[in-house]
Amino acid sequence: MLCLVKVADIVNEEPAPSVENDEDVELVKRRKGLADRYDALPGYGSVAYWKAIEAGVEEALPLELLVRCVREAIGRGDDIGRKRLFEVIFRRTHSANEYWANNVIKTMNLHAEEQRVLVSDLYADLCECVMRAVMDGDRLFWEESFQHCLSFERRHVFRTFMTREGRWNNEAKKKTARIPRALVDSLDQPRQQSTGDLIEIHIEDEMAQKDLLAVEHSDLPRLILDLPDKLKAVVLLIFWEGRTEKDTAMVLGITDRTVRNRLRDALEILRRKLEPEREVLYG
Amino acid sequence: MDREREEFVQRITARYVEEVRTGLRPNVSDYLVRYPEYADEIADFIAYFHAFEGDLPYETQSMPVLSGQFQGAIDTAWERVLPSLGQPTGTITSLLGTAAKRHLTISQLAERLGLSKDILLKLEQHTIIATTIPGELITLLAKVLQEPSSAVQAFFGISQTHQTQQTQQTLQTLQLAEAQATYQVNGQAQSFQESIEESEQLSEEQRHAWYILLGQEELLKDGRDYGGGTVG
Repeated sequence: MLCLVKVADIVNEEPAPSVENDEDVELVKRRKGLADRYDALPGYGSVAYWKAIEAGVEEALPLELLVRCVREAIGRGDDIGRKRLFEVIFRRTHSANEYWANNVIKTMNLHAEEQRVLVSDLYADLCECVMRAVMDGDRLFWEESFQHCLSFERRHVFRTFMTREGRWNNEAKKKTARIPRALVDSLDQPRQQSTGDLIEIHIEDEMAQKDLLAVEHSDLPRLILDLPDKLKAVVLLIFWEGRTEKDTAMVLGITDRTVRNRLRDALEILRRKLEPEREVLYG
Repeated sequence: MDREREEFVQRITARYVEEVRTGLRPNVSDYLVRYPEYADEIADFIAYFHAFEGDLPYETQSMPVLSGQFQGAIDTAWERVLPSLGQPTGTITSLLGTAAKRHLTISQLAERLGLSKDILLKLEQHTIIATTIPGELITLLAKVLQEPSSAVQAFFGISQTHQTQQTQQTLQTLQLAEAQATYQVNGQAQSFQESIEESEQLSEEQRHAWYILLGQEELLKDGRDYGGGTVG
């Protein structure tokens, strides 16, 4: 009992580590683990080396190490080794990459053959981006968190691909010089009454709001993705996380009015997007 | 988004994804409130992640044989990438900078050249008289840096005809003057041989090899015979 009390006292005396510290400790541990495994690899290019690189399921090396190996191959001018390493990387990530490419193309409602061609295009785009990123020795995070970097690369490829195919909802592109933007923007500003008080014009798009609330929770992210970057956080917080406008304003450090304006803009875009679906559902 | 900013957002969102993968339901607002200046990028990635990445099969660690369709896609990617790889730029403004582009650290470059880091730094800083640098080192540098020899020669201020025996004497005088006028730093310019003799980092084996080479190229300035030629 005495011992337990003593231990408790000691624990209480030590400052509780913050979440950030815990994360840092984990990160350092992870980095060290990866560095140790890399150092323990058999001599570059030896039979044992390639056996370790191409090992099957249970003994497979972390992909982060393969990135370092690719960079070493480049440093040694070993083009054949570099290609062989990439082959391993692409085979090991193939299932996820293929699934992703099919998923992206599926959203485009195309004929089977057209789909197949576009999946190949998208897959080639992704491989190209991965090759360039992995070979770029300045991109150090690939040596720490391969899967996450790959996710980022897929997002980048997705965006570029959709833009190229003309399917990206780019509001900036739709702006024309014929619309008096300054005048339209001025409508968002509070009006000054003759008494000197400011009044706001607040237009609610109830129909769009209803439509959005009726959307499956899991389908929301795809709709949000189509929004301009500035509007995504507001919609994500209100519709994905269920925050109030006031909470959202606090989280983002903006005024309630800005939240409402962004929400209105977002709903306007989403209403146009959801209209065809509503027509299908309700005629 | 610039590279540095993107990497920072990657580090932030990596935590979010890790929490999701471990079965937790992290609050988006926690992340946005902590990093308000990255709110747009974080929100964009989180929306994308839940739309397309959330249910992806994580690495299977198996090695499937790729079908012709996907192998073809990888080949296409190589065709696009290869032409832009390791293309010589034709100009070298820094040996170390060019080496970095080839993913070589100063130690790795020194090792490849059979030199020590201190001599490499002298070469980088032009404190070694250009005309005393052996031609073999120029060739080796060109090979390791994947640049034409002319680019390495230009870096040292050596004209391409420098190596020809007929004009060597005249050029030596001219280039020595050029090298001293242009590159001598605080009056510390020395010959390549002197830098070899002075270096504390060079191994005896390496030193010996360079003496032989200097002898072979008739650049050795003492009477020792290292098997490749005697001067003095």
